[in-house]
Amino acid sequence: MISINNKVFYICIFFGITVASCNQYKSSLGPINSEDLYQFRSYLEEVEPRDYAVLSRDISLEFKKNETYTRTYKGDYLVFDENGREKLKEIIFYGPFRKIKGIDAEIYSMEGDLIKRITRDDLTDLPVSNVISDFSDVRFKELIISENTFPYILRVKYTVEFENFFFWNFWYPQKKGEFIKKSLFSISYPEEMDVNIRENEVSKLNTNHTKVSGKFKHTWESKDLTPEDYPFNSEPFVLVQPVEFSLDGVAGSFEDWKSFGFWYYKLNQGRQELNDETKAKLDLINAQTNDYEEKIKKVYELLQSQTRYISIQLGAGGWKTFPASFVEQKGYGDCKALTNFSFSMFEYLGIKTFPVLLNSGYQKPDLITDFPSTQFNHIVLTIPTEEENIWLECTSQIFPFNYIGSPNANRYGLMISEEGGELIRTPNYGKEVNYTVSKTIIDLLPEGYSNIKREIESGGVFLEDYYYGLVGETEENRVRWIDSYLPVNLISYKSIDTKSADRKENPVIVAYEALSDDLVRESGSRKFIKTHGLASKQSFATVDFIEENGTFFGFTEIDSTVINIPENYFVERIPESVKIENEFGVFRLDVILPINENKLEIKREFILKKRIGLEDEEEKRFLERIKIFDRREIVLKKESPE
Amino acid sequence: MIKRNSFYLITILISALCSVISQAQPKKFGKISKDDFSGPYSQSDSSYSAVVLFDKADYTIQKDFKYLVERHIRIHILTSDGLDFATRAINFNTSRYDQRIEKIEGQTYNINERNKIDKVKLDRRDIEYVDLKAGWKTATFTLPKVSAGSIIDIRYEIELGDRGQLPNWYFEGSIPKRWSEINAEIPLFLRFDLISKLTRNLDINRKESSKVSIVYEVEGSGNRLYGGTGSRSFRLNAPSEIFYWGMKNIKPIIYEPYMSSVNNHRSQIFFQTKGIEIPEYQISESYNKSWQQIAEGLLEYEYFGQELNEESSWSKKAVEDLILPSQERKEQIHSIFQYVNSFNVEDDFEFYLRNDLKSINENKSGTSNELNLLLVKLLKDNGINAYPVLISSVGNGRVNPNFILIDQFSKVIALAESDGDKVLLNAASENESILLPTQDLNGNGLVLDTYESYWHNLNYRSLSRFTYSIDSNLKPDGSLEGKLEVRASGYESEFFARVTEQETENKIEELISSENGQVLLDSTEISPIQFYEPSISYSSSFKFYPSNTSGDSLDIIYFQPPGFEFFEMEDLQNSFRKYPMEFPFRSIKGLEVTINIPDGYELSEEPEDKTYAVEGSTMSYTDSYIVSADRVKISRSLVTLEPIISVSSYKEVKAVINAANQPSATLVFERSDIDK
Repeated sequence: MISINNKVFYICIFFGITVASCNQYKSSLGPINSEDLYQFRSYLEEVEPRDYAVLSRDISLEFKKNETYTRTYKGDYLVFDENGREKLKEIIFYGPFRKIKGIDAEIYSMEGDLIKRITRDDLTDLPVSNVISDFSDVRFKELIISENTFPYILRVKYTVEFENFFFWNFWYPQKKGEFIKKSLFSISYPEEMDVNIRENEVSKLNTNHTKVSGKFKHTWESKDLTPEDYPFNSEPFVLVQPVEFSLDGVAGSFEDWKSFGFWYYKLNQGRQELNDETKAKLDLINAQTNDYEEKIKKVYELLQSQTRYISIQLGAGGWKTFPASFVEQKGYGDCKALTNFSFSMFEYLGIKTFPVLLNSGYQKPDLITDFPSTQFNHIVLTIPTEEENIWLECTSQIFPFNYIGSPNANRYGLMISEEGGELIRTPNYGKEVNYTVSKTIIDLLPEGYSNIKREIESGGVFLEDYYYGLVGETEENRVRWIDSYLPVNLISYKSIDTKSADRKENPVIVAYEALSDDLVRESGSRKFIKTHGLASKQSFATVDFIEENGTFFGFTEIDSTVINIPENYFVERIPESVKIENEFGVFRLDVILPINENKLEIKREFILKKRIGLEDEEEKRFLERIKIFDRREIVLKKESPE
Repeated sequence: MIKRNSFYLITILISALCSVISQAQPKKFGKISKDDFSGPYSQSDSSYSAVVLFDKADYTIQKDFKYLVERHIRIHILTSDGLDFATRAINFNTSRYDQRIEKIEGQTYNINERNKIDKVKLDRRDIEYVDLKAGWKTATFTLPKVSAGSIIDIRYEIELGDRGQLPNWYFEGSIPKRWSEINAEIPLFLRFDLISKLTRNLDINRKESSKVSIVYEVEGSGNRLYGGTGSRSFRLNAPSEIFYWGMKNIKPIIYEPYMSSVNNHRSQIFFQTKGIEIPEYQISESYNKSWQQIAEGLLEYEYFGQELNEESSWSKKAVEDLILPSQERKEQIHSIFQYVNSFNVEDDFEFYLRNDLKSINENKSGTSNELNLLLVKLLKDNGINAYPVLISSVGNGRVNPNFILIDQFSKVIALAESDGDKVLLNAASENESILLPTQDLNGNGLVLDTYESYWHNLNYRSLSRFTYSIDSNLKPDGSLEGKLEVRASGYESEFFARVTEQETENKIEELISSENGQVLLDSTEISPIQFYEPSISYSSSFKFYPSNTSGDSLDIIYFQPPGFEFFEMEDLQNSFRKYPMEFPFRSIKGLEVTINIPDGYELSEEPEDKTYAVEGSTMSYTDSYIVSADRVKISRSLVTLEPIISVSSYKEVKAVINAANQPSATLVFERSDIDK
């Protein structure tokens, strides 16, 4: 006897679809496409994927007339192991401008039978900020799947409603390493609405553009992707940004950068009033100097001494600044508040400054300059002068004047003025700006000890190491930091001079004299010394670091080391000179033995011409060769007694 | 004249001392003077970014018989690095512990240009309350106008719903404290065990008689006084005592390498509720008097051990396909352990059960404690004697069995009996063998048995060994080829047991070549790890090419023997040490390299043998060379025979570890047929 439910089951299979088998759970996500599942499984059996594979991923945006829109996410995944389960942990943000309208998730067997529905207990709800100096009203729900019998099918669906058109949306069909049967993106919006859409490499996609019942609908679909399809340089993507929007009662437009900049200017107007105490301090600075740049520097020093950075992402999507009076009262603020406070102080002194919105961070993509949208996460201040602009990072208490930090450099930003927005390049920190020059004298002492006297001058991104490691630190911590910065064991210090960092100089000069017990390796009558034994351990300029992480800047490293040869020792071996020059950089190493002088000199120069990624084999080989040359050893031998 | 000078000197010293003490003494919130800014307070304070001037807590009983915790902390920020102390988070739990924040106050003090004190209050609107997991909430705030040189005042009150949960008090922190004081009001009818673990004498240690006036509520049926049902309340005036405990000028505790837990070295006071005795109302409640009572309570508790006492059919069915009656006990235990060990371990440190064991088994997922209780259940219901074991993980600090205090434990593991043997198991372990995670190796655990609970040693008593041997031929171009063998047992075998063959090879390559060249491994053999007697072996033939080889014969071969990173011990760089060094287990690590010298070459000079040892040979390192005409044999070994070595041996331990971290001496082989 076949029950009604079972009859339905058989009929559905006949028509090429399936429904959940009759058990204690009832699906709320509809049937899985059994034909696709069968085909995909057959294919995957041949390629034996790890982690997970995507049967279908469907993201749709529906814009409405009332300035709200929904983003609905549907995903059907084949999960093969714990890694796959972890990678598919879905995190859904919500907060003042976005609300979650429903989350459903179900677990199926690989045959398409419903095993389990995810309940409220499988969702955690936590604040975004997990550090105590970070204040935010955004929270997230995380879908915790604990299913432990692999493989299985995970089906997820959720909808988030956004209460304005401010934030942009972007879609990439594939993540790195994914096998995909189908990936789909669609948007719909009323015909009277203006939406900027940017398509890239869409010839690789199936597209469909229609207009039905007064609504535009666009879809982009990608099918049958393998991990090899994942591109490193160029990939299909779609960007979506409605042109008109309103946030916190202020209407704006993404028609062009000028319009968006003007909206930001309007949103933050009327928040620059300073109190009498601040004004008095500024009057004093005004009275102290007439020099334009000196005046700016003193205001920056005042800012650094009186404020500190606290992340506060509350209210208007983190875009409306706290007024200058907030920073005056509290002595802290986020990047917008501190930049606005600085702007207000300069405005009081009649100095014209401009906030600049940035997408800060080493691995952030370049600004898409011809697609006005909310591509920013940070703000700094720039001040035009007769020569180059001055740039101020208002959140830093330790940076020197006119240094905005490596995560902000070498990129486009949006300069804000009463005229609106204008794209501007931040300073270029390249191989000319990022440099370090060291001069070292090493005295070789008995029993493997050596005395190291060293002076290092650093500019550009190199000085950040020293500022973060030394400024504001106690004496003990400074010693600890230098200890950890070097690959050798320094057992005692005769002197450490970090006054240059205390004075916030750029370039910074740090000097120390210390005793090491392992810079030189002794074996019998010989002493072994590496040609680059004092390479900084933590710096991004080390070859090891670059090999692992790539680097984001070109730089110049020049080291000069003099080794005084002890009496009764002679040089048994010195490495041959080497010079490599190619499209990536220049490496030169010479060990010189001056005639009639009991010393030898190591001259090393390493110039990286540009940023280096991790994919290029030629780049890797270049770095590997440098590493080998840096490890070559000089051998000194004790003269045998006559 | 001399006398007068002495008098002045003493007067100056006394007044200086008084000044320091008066600066540090707890003061009312908001009450401050310019003298308070005259830090640093001692030479050593200049090494820190901030100093706690005082940290004081009062535990008082309110009329509704709930405790109020009032805490007042004053901190002098000395450097910009200390600004982090101006941002605070106060955690409390409204749903689970019925805790409520009554008040938070904060104030910053700065000396202004006119040499006056500016006071800026924390605005209540700047306090952010955020919901976290499991009923926990946090109140986060940052004090205004703080810079290096500021003093900050923080005061808050938390009402505790559960009178049995008085917070423990710790004296030391990560920065110096000039004054740390706790005052606790305890009525005589409320019996507490006040447990102190002190590293030095208290500077304040007294008590005063007092009185409390409370409304006492008796809940539920069964109380003879009220006829058995409902709840009633009555007013009670009762004598009490206020205890005052404090320390002054407390040095901070900073983590040092090979320190298991800072908690082992902090002075602390615990509060353990024992019961309530109000004879005039015939109220007598007794809580945990002994470990056995704690064990019995836990084993009967719905959210801990109750299910272990009820035999179930599901628990037999769950493993019926895995075990056979004909199997030995040990095999059955192994099978059941593997079954639970394959479950998902959820990242939640909840001590008690959140779900019943049946659903944990069905979901194949749970917290570490849930999985271990499930393991006990499955073992028991399938005829194997098994018990939950309460332990404190290494980071949580050691358990003192004299303190009957459940708070000392942080985890549950399992113990199974097999033919007279007792086997400790952690169902959440990532180890491939029976070995507990090293974080569990922390003194004694309490085995929970309804009839007779007992303490069981958790430490791994055997020596863990790692030996690495190479037999090789050196070539005239400086390259090397030969055979290598790795044998590991105990904890030393776990790394190789957990990783793939490729990862094993990568590790071996790293061990051989470090940064000196390239290694090619060939024809490898790996023996799998044994569950009960963990050991593993690996062998392979190999070829090693130094970085700078040209392939030509060399007149002089500088040969750096392998094994540079072999010992992998953390450096001991500090010139001083305050606390004993603790190692997770006893071990022997050995390296033996035999190099056959190529024809026509000879060793230029024989390196010196070296031995470094800690007094009593609890730890030692040797580096020795045996040289003959055609071969050099290098032996290095690092032996740790005691897991804890006293601080007085620091210098020797440092020398041992630093020597072990050094590369072997470079061997120089010269052509014997050319003139030197």
